[in-house]
Amino acid sequence: MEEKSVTGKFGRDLLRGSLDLMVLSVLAGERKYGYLIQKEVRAASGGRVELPAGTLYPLLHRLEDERLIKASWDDATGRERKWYELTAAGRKRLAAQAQEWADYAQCIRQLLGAARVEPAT
Amino acid sequence: MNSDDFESYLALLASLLRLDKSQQREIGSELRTHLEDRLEDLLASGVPRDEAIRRALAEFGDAAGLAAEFVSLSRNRKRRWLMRLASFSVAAMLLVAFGLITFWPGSNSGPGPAIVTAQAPPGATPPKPAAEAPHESPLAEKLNQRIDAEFVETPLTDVIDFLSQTAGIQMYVNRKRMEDEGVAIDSPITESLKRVRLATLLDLTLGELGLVYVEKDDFLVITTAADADATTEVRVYDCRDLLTMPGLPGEKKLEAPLPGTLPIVEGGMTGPAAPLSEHDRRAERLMNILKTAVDPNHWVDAGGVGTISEYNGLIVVSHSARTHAKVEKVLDMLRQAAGLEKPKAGVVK
Repeated sequence: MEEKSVTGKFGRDLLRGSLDLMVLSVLAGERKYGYLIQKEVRAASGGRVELPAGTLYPLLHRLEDERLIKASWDDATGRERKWYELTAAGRKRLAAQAQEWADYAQCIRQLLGAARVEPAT
Repeated sequence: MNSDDFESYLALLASLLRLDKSQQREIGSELRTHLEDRLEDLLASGVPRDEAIRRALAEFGDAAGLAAEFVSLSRNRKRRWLMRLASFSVAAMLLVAFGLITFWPGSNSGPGPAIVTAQAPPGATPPKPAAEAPHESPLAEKLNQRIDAEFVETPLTDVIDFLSQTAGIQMYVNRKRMEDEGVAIDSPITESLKRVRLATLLDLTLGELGLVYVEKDDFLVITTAADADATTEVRVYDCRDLLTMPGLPGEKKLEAPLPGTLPIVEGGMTGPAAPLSEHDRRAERLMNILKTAVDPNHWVDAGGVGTISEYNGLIVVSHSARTHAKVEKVLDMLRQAAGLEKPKAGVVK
């Protein structure tokens, strides 16, 4: 609702559809806690996607609710943290979504190519 | 970590999170670690402590907004269980399923449907009068379906989203007008009704907030009552069937030698007492019925905005969309009572 909730260099509408996928893909490796996920999304996107806590945590809780990720608490890092990891369903969803995004991007590229639309920059 | 700002932010957040205690604690401590991590990073990069605290909190966003996100998240969880479609057809189920799928963007079947959706509105809407799509249930039918509603302090915007998806009706919310008149889009709604018609549910839910819904093409516009009443549109109702239907046996004799009296027409400006034909008398009566049965205070002669006139059995009404809907309903009821068929193109909008 507020403009600040997802900032970065992409349009808000464009981003909204892909936040879940971003988080799932960051979790594809080892388990991570919220702050780490935020940092990795920022780094992996070359600083172009910033996931504020106000967006990230509700999103994580929703994914947990949908059983795509599961969480556990421990203090392995010297601080009690909530760690998230993909479930089997999450892994399947990630693979399916990644495929769809690849197809989608390909399709858009073709459309833009056919229409001879050149990126502005 | 014992800055006052920090602690009061977390305390505020905790109190705003109207969740059960264990959830509150969990979310609270998860967010606290996040803030602490961020603060450490900022301090490590040489940002002075005060500035670091300020920045960490600012990045977090306002506690109220964040708390609202969590609360609505947990409410959605409950809502999913509480709300079910009581009477649904396969089509309605598909609509719900489709609604859910579209929530997951770029969804299952990839680019295909996305493109179809993008093309549908401009292409499909204009040829509507040709009635090319009989399989598509019209708005009225969708508004007639019955659902179970169980809202507990649910924000209006969630209620609308839910109903829109459940019923397969697009709903446009006039946020600007609502803001202007001080109606919050997230006003909490509490409603518990079994097998209620969607139209009734909307009337009740929106009515409490001084809002109304107006049918527009094949979607609903949700706005304030004042806004809805201020915009008038002209519609033509074909009432030739109602005006030519056989009258009561006793009434027949009036038809032939009608005297020059003006029995019913109040305010009729027929100066030289031109004899009214049976047709005119009936038309005048019908218009009076409409004016008394439908929003009696909203017609021009009562200081309102609506006008009504008749030409050759066609009744021309200029009024708000809401009143039009009621006019249409009364005419339908009259036809039903008289055993008349609903005309194919009864209303021209």
